Parts: sequence; structure tokens; C-alpha cells
Amino acid sequence: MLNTRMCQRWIAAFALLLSSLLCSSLSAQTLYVISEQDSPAVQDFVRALAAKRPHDAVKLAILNALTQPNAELPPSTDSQSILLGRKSLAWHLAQQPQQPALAMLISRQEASSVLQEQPPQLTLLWREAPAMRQLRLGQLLMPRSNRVGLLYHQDNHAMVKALTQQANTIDLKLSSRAWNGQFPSSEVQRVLDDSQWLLALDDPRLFNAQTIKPLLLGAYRQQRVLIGPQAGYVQAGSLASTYSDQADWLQQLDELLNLAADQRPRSAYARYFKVAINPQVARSLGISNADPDTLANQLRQGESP
Amino acid sequence: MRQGMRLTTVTGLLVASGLLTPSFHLQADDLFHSSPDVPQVLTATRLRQPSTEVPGSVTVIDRELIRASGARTIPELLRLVPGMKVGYRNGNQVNVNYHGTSITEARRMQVLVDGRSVYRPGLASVDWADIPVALEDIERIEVFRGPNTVTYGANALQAVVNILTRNPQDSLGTRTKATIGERGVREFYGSHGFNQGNASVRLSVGSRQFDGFDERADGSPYHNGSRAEYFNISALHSLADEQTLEWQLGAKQGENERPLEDFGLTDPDVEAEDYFALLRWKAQLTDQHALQVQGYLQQQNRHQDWRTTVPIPLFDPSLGKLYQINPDLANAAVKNPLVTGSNATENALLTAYRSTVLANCTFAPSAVCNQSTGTTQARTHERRGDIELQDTWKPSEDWSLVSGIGLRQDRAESQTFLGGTVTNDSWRLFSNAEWRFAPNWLLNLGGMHEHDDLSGSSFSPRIALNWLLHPDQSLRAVYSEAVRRPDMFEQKAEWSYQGRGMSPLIAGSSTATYYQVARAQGSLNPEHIHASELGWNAFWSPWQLSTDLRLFYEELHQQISEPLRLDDFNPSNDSQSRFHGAEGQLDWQASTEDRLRLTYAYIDNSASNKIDRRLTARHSGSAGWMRDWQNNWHSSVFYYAADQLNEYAFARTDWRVAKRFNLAQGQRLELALMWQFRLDDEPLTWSENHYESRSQWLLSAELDF
Repeated sequence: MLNTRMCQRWIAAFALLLSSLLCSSLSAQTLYVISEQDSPAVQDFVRALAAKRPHDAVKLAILNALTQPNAELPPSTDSQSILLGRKSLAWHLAQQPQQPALAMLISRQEASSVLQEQPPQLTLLWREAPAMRQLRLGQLLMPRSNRVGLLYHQDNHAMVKALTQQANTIDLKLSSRAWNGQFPSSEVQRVLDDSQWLLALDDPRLFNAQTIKPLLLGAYRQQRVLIGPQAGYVQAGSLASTYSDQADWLQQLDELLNLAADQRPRSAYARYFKVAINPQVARSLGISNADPDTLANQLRQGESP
Repeated sequence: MRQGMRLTTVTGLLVASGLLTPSFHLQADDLFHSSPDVPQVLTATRLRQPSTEVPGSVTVIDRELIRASGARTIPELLRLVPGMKVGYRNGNQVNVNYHGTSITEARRMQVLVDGRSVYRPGLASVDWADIPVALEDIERIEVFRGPNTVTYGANALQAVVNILTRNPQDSLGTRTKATIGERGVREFYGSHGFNQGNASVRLSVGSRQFDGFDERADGSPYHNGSRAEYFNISALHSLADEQTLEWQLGAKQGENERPLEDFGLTDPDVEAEDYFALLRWKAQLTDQHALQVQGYLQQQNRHQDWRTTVPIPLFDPSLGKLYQINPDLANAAVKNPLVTGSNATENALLTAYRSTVLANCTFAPSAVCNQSTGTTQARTHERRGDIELQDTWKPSEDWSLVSGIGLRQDRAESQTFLGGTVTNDSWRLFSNAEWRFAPNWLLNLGGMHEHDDLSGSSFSPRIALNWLLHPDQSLRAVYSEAVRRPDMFEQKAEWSYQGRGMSPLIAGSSTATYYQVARAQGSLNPEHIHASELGWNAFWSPWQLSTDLRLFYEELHQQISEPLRLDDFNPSNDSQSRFHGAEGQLDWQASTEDRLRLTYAYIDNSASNKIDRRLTARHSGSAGWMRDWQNNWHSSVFYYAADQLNEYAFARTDWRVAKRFNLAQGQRLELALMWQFRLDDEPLTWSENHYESRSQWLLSAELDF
């Protein structure tokens, strides 16, 4: 049995090596990173991408420059675009919709505001952590608490309905209410009343620097914790969130670039991720099984096919 | 609610190790972490301390538990606290003492509502039936089991009950609730929360009434019901720069029935009025530094006016004067007017008294005296003003310091009990330092220095050591001292009953005074408690199981135990009590639907005065099972037992089934049926406290919109 498994692993590893060699040799190309603005973080990303894909040429194109009258656009052959942010995506859709592209740093909500029809060669990589992953993180931290509160923008009603059904499959009951992001709010109160913890979706209309304070204080007063919406909020007082950093995204991007554009998924969440925990909040609430790496591993195992 | 940084301090709620240091570091140059500029919200001074790090034993009764218990009063909820003894003097006078002591006076526990002491300054007691707060407005009740003068000041002798109402921001919208049931239970409650500018406001109004016990030991009807109406306004203003301003106003008026007394023609029912106003300003100066100033005023009025018909000789002024000189001789003269005194003054008074007797009494065939009819009053007006400044500072990860200063003025006016007005000014200084001197060790050192005009100065220290065996578990050792200051009545009593509008006149006057008058000596010292405990606290988060076990040894010294009687008013500091034993609590979310809760206390009590052994049950405890069924059905069952409260056993089960209906437009209706069933045939605490039936049914309907 063991030998068979070992054998399968070797074959798989060999196949992977072969395919990556083939792909890289076949697809030496220019990757245009298109960003609204230049910044040390963007530069760093470009450098890291170039290091990750030594066979490809990686070029940075700033949107302002691209919109100049005589700007040089990415050529239509042997090149692909990596679009950073909503404006880059909008530019791409207007100027080069048929060019193979991957859009990053874009949320579902932002995409829906610029996207009428998704071109076939475009892959959207959602910035936000998948809600189910966040739900499962909360479930791992609070296994006996299955009533989860969810505040959503009314535009997301259909998504929340689907999420409620998905949550049921892992024995979580979502208690959700549409909310306009204003405080104090009876909607927030009702959701806190009905739930044992709150899931915050990555929707800046609802969860932002202004709303996070009253929300966290109100929840904490009533012994409720927040999971999500992203790692930045863990520092504020959210108990935990999954997140993907540059290394995670580069890994996924590398894998997707190895595929032909028409074989890529139309959209995807971050495949690689980590877990951020606020240990002080965890300790204050008596949650001690909160090792981030262990939790991330547990989540990965739950997601593997 | 954060009311009370005081709370934060006392239950030891400051985070010990914590300037917030997340478990990850966002790279400034990581493109995928350009997260918004989010402020730190749950800073070190805002986080509660985990139960493993609290320098003492705390029981929390949360909102879910309050609802599931079906309890209608706070004393009923306190049965969920291990070691808490709940005794009933009658239907509306409840004596709650932690671990025990006197059955008639419950004056060794501090009770606070949102940081405001409701312990009466004049006649040390807590009128549970008159606290102007609705159970529906309570966020949670935190009970610090053990002395805690260090944080709460005098009278936090054996325990502290901290009632925290919901933050107005958390109770927006309208709620109405009605509860009706057997034994005359009629309760109505309504609240409305709204936002106005930068403020959230909640207005609550309500009424409650019940009949009390049905009958006395001899089967005669018992007049001991209660009725009350109340309102509260609670507001929270969010100011700039991390500041908040809270204010509360409240009033309650009601009537507590009292049975007929000697010479009474009508019932001496108590008209009770309570008013209060509270203001609290909080500022989060930095993430490590918070400041709070709180002030409140409250007034508690108790009026008893009843018609009496009295034998005229007992109100004879000469007999009254004789009682002041020689009480024994005066008492003897009432039984036999022919007794003689030992000096000329006594004999002159006796002669005058005898002439009154001869003029008003006939002796054959039996002694009968003329009666005079009038009104007797017992009125008290008690007022308290209190202001306190509290500073919470965390200079480093290993240190936190809570310090403060407070001033208080207590004033009680009562012709009947104090012969006029008594005031008592006091001040206090307190500080508690928490030091994490090693990663798994916490040391708490604290002290409170107090001074008041009536009883002088005292200092109460506490030292506590917590050893974290594991983040989930700790062992603790605590030594603390605390004081109870004699109340104004014990220290300054001038207790007499006057008849007004007497007819016929007595000694030519329509106002006459009963001959017995009690006067306090005013030389009492504070009661002291020395308490030690060893505790083990654990919270296993994967199972959501929390447990706390505690061994305790408590010695009460200079205890004032004598019953305060008009004909025998001799309080002294001569009594001692000792308690030792063990108690434990367990709260377990056994599954996503089931929550189990157990408490138990074993208490061994010895006391120099037998009166102090009466409210101590050797074995007592509670068990509860709450279940969240499908389709908005909820059920709970609780069992409470104490093997002897004033020599009577107590065992009861309380059942509750509730169904929630989600109506249109977010409205919600909850119907609940409750059933309480006594498992024994004993009276409750006193022989006259009987119900006709062991069973009581109650029904409640609550509508939120």
C-alpha cells in the first residue's frame, strides 16, 4: 500500500515537473503588470513575480502612462496582462478585452461595477477571503457555537442566500440582516442578539475604519466576536481572519500562468492562505486553541478535494 | 457593558499581558495587505481579563441564562451562584447573604446597579423588591464571591453583586412584555431605544405585582404582596476623542404589604419611593490609559402610616421618662404598676404613672385599660451622593494599575428610627496593581483606605497570586480583608414610635410616644472579615467548558449580630463567625444546542451567636439544562436546592418552554410557559411563608419591533 502511494507521488511529481518545463518553454512571454499607480509595494510585486518566473519578461505599466495618446500598449501576442485593481480592470475591458489577463486586487463588488460581460480570456482573482473559509475558521475556533450573525449590503442579498445554504451544509445557522453601515443600528443589534459570533464580509461599505469601532465594541460588550473581514481588522480587535499575502498570491498566479488562458478558471479565490489571530482577544474570551498555523492547516485539509 | 471600569478592575478584568500584539506582521510593502487604516479598538484597557487571571471567584449570570431561568426577580437569579443563600422574611422582603449569617438582616454584601450602590445607608439593607431595574434591561450580573472592599469599598464584605444593564446602543427598537401567573403575578414592561444626535437613549417603563405567600403557619391569610411601577432612562453620548458620557435617571414607586402588628388597626404597608440620577464620563486617553469620573445621587423614601389603638398607660410620659432611667423597672411597672423604685426620682415617676393607670384601667374582673386611637408613622428618607475618579493605566505589558479616589455623603432622616437627621461623610482611596512577574505568574496587590465620620478609618488589603498552569487553567491563592461599617441605625439609633392625632388625648396631648425608646451608644467598630481561598479555574475552549473550584476559609470578627429590637437594643462587636468549605461551578456548552450548568457549595459554619448560623445551608446548589430545539423552540429546566435555610429545606424545579415567532417586517413574538414546582413541603425560610400549592404556572409574551 505504502509503495503504491509512494509510486503515485513520484509519478505526480514527475508529471508536474514535466508540465512546468513544457509550459515555461512553450510560453516564454511578456507579463505586463498594469497598475493604477506606482509604489514600492507594486515594484516589489513586480520584482517578486520576475523572480518567480525567470523565463518570462515582466514589465510594469502604469495606467496614467498607458492612457497617454502615444502610449505603447501591451502587444496582442506573446503577452499577458496582470491587472491590479478596479481601474486597471476597467482600462483593460475598454482597451484590450481580448488580451489574456488576470485581474487581482479586485473584489466581487468592484468587478460587478465595471464588468458587463466577462471576456473569455480574463480570469478574476477575488481579493476577499472566501466566506466559507472564514465560516470554517470561526467554526474551528468556536466549535460549539453554530449561530453565526451576518450583516450584508442589500446588493448582496442573493449571495447571502446562497451562503446561508452552504453554511447549513457545515451545520452553521446564519442569521443575516441587510444593513446600511450606519450606527447605532437595530439591525446590528438583532443580529448580535440572534447569534453567537459575527462573520464580517469584506465589503468596505459596511466594514471600514468608521464602523469597525462601534461594531467591535458593541459585539464585545455582548461577548460576541468578529471573524474577518480581513487581516487588517484583526489588529483592531477582530478575533481572526484568513488572509493571503504576496507569496500566496504569487504561488497561485504562477500556477495559473502555466495554464493556457482558456483553461484557467473564470474566477477564483485565493488558494493559498494563512490565518491571523488576535491572541489578546482570544485569551480574553478564553479561546486557547488558536494557533494560526494549525488552524490554517486544518482549513486546508478541509478544502482539499 | 463597560460600565464600570470599576467592574473591569474588580473582577479583575484588566488584560494582564496586553498591549495588542497580533500574531502576524503586516508587511508594509506587501501589495496584498494594503489594508485600510483601521484603529485599534479592543485595546488593552478595554479587554476583559480571562477568568483564569482574575484575582478571585466570579460567577456571571448572562442574558441567556436570565431569560432561560424564567426568574422574575434578582434574588431568584442569585440561586444560580454557588454559596449564595436566599431567604425570605416575607413575600417582599428577601434576605440574600453569601455563605450565611443573619436571617433577618442581609447587610454584608454590596449590591451595585451600573456602579451605583443600592445598599441603603441608613438601615443597612438591600430592598430587592424596590431596585428600580427591569430584568429585561440587564445585560449580565457579575457576582464576586468573596470580600472585595479593595475595589468596591466598605460593605463588600462577603460578596459583591454587580448588576449591569444593557448599553443603550445595544437596545434600540421597541420591546413590550407581559407576564401573568398564579400567586397574583402581573408584570408589564416596555422599552424604546432610539438615537438622537450623538446619543443613544433607552426609556424603560414597567410595573410588577404579586401576592406574596398565601398563608401563615396557622392557615390564616398572609398580607405580604408587593406592587411597583418604575421608569428608567439610560443614555450614552459618544463624544469626540474617545470620550463617552453616560447618564441615567430612574424612579420607582410602589407598595410592599406588611402584616398587622401589635395595636394595629390597619396594615403598616410600606410606601416605597426610589429616585436616582447618575452621570459618568469616560475618556480613553491612550491605548494604555483610561480615565473615568462618575457621580450619582439617589434618594430612597420609605413611609409607613398605620392606624393604631393603644392602651393609654403605655404612652404615659412618666413611664417613658422612667424607661430612660431604668428600662427594667419601667418594663416591670407595665406588668405590675405597684412595683417600687430604688430612689426618689424613680418613685415619683412611678407615682405619676400609677395615677394614669388608675384613671384609665379597671382591674376586675380582668385588667382592661382605656384605649386611644391615632396614627403611627415610621418614615425614612435616605439620600446618598457619591463621586469617584478612577484611573486605569497599563504602563507596560507586565503591569497594570487601577487607582482612584471617591467622596460620599450619606444622609438619613427619620424621626422614628434616628430621632431626626444623621449625616455621614466619607472618602476613600484605592489602588490595585497587577504584575506579571513571570510569563505564567500574576500577582495582584491592592488596598482601600476609607474614612467616615461615624466609624473612623480603616484599611483593607488584598493579595492574590495566579499561576497559569496552562493558558486554559490556573491555580490561585488569595488573601483579603474587608470591612462592613455599622449603619446609621446601629450607630445612631434613636428609635421610638409616636402616636399622632390621638383620641382621646393622652396626658393632654394629641401626640404621644410609646414608653420604650431605643438609643444607640455610637461606639461600634466596623466588622472585619479575613478571608483566604485556594482556587482552580479552567476553561477548555474546544469543549466550551468552564469550571471553577474553590476552597475557602473566612473569619468574621467584631460582628454585630444582636437583633435590633426596640425593647432590647444592645448591638455590640462581640460576635464572631467562621466559614470554611468548598464550592464549584461548571458551565458547559455540551453541544451546539445544549448548555449545562452546575453549581454546588459545601459550607461549614460556626458562630458565637446562634443567630448567625441560621442562613447557612451546609449543602446547596443548582443544576440547569438549556436546549435550543429546531424551529425556534427553546426549553430549560433548573433545579435548586439547599438543605437548610433557617432549618427548612428547599428544593424546587423550574421549567420553561418558549417558542419564538418571526413576524412580518422584523417583528418578533416570543411566548413562554413557565412552571415552578416545589419538591418539598417545607415553608420558605420562616414558618409563616406558605403557599397553598407547590406549583406555580406563569405565562409571558414578548414582542420586539
